[in-house]
Amino acid sequence: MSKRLVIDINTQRTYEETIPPAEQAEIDAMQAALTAQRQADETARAAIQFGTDADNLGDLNALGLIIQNHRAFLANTSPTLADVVQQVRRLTRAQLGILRGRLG
Amino acid sequence: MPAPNYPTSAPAIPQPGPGTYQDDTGFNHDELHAWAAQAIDQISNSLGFTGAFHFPVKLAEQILATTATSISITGIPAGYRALRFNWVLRTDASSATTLLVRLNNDNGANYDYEVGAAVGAVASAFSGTNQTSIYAGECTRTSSAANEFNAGYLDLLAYSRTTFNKMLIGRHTRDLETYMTAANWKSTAAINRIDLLPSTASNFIANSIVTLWGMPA
Repeated sequence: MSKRLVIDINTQRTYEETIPPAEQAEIDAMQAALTAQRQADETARAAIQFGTDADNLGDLNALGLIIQNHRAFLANTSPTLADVVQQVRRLTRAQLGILRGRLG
Repeated sequence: MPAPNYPTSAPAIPQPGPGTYQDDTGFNHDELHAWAAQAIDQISNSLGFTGAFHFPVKLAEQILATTATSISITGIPAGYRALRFNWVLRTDASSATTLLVRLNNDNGANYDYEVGAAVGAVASAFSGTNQTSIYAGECTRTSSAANEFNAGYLDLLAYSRTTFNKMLIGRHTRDLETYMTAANWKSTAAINRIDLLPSTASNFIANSIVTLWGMPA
């Protein structure tokens, strides 16, 4: 049972009360709707950030391969400049083209 | 400034009687407040100030001893120009959770809000139309750093006037985050209750604090 803390200024009393079932059902519905809305918003933001339309899927797949092929590099949490240069040299010309396009 | 003219006698202390604030011991808080205001006026006049001082009056405060799924302040009196509602709180939510505010327990789609937010270096703005509550900001939760609490307030202006819809304006903070909320409750009713609740099924944790201040006329 959900408990609501009530501070009643009229009576100068503070007490806990169980939220009436009808009101609790309304709150549950509102919270569920807000959670669903938040998830939808986050999905939409992710789509904007990474692109999920058909034109972008090829690029995304290629980027996925780049990441997949260089897990060891990604696991390096504090790469040196030399590490980064070596990593970039490993990329194919096509991969570099995709990255250049992505980075604008 | 003229020489102080201290009062020679204090106003008579009111006797208990019926009133809005009479508590269960029979003490009349209305009259005590009126007496205190009168005494302050006398002192301020004696110091050469004309007119009265207007100090905020703490109408209600609670430090949670245990968790609560929501917090209600009821019985808000109408005799002030404005209210300021403060909170310092944290939730035990396991996922992203918003702090919501409702007025007079109105769960209808009667709230509009506009929010300017800064999270880290990213600024954003968003709004809600015909919502069932007011967006106040994002809550600290189980994944937040230890001892990190939210702090915030909402000002409720002309809260007891029945001519206008109610406009509210406030701020809310989390570590490296700030939210500026302006809200419109589309009702002309006098505000007599404020509810604070999280947007997910979770609790405000112990040691959370809520305070309601009245700004005198």
